[in-house]
Amino acid sequence: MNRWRPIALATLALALAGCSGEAAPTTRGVYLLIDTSGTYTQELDKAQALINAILAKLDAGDSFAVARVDTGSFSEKDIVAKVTFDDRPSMTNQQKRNFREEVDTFVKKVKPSAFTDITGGILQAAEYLNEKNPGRKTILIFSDLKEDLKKGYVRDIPLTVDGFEVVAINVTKLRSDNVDPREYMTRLQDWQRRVESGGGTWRVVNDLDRLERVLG
Amino acid sequence: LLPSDPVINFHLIARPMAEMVGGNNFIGSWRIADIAALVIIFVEVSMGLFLMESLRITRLFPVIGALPDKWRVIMVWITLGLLTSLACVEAGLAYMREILLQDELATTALLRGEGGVSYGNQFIWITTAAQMGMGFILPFALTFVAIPLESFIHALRTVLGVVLSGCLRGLAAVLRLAGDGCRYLGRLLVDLYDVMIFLPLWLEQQVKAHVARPAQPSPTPKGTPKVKESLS
Repeated sequence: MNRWRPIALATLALALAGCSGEAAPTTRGVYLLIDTSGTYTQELDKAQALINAILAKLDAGDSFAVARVDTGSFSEKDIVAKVTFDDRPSMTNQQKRNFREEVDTFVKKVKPSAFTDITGGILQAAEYLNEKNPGRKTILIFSDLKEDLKKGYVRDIPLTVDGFEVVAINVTKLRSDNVDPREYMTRLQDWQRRVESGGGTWRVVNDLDRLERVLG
Repeated sequence: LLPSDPVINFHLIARPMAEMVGGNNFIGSWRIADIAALVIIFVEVSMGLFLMESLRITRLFPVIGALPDKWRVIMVWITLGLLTSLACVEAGLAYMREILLQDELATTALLRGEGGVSYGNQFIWITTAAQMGMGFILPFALTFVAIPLESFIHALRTVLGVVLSGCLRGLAAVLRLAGDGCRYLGRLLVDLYDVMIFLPLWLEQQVKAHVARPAQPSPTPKGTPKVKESLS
């Protein structure tokens, strides 16, 4: 019995050393807001490519949701598709294929909205991701960032995005931006200020040739 | 070749293990799927070890070798049966690995917009069969780990003794070097102190010598004899 004691102790020590290692890789939560207002619906094919790139990058245990930005975006009804990937790789692949189909159906049937409530969309995204509580939270905004609220909608409220990474993607220039580029810059600065004052980090990605870099 | 056997074995079964125990569960920084694959390999190695012991090819456990022949044969059949079962499990996992791989490739192709492209071809069964064959054969190949393991354990005592002796010699040399270093460093410090203290000591000596020198008698005052004379 004494002969085996050192081996048993060594095995136990090895097991304990394994348990006390660094923390396991954390899951990721991604919420993509797609602007469906006016002429921006023409950019939806790019959004599809972006969604496919994100799906390819996400893994088992990660969460992903795609929501549209319309007149009032602070609503679960605006979520086009959402998924939390299963632990089993085969199920994850199946979920990715289903998700892609849902998004394709949405893109075919989408109608342009009259107004653009980006703030409401971000609030909804924060709520969704906080509920999922992944290790890393990312909100992607596929929009020109021009907020256009319907009369009566209150959105001048601070964003609570502490610990979130907010990435604006494909921020197209409007006709008025071309006339006065300061409008575009001011728009970006305003959103950056709002996000950073809410505790989040802000990034703009306009080069869609390297979609894999969107998630960092 | 023997160390590479468990490694190949591990890669064959680690991916499909994620399908059974989940691909996103961790113990510390270790994936449970990887741990499960390692457990299967260790069980196979131990079964192989017992098989070799029962066949009296190796003699790591004298108790097994000393068993009556009847019990030893029973043990051979039991371990062989378990080993065959594990080999079948591995072959199944290797088959599953191929299916998962094809599924993943198809999904990635679909997401890249290459839906029409098929990664499979009419010869895919060859790789599948090869993987299954490897999955079945490698556990039996692992049993032969027992032979080098026995040699290793027998040689371990000598090797450990030599290594320990070498370490102690090295340590002695280092300590001797450190001791000599300290001794000479002490001498050096004393010499340096001498250099520094020489001047103050010399000055002190000079001052003391000056103070200790006896004072010279002073010349007689002029009026004294006259006084003496008038008094007399």
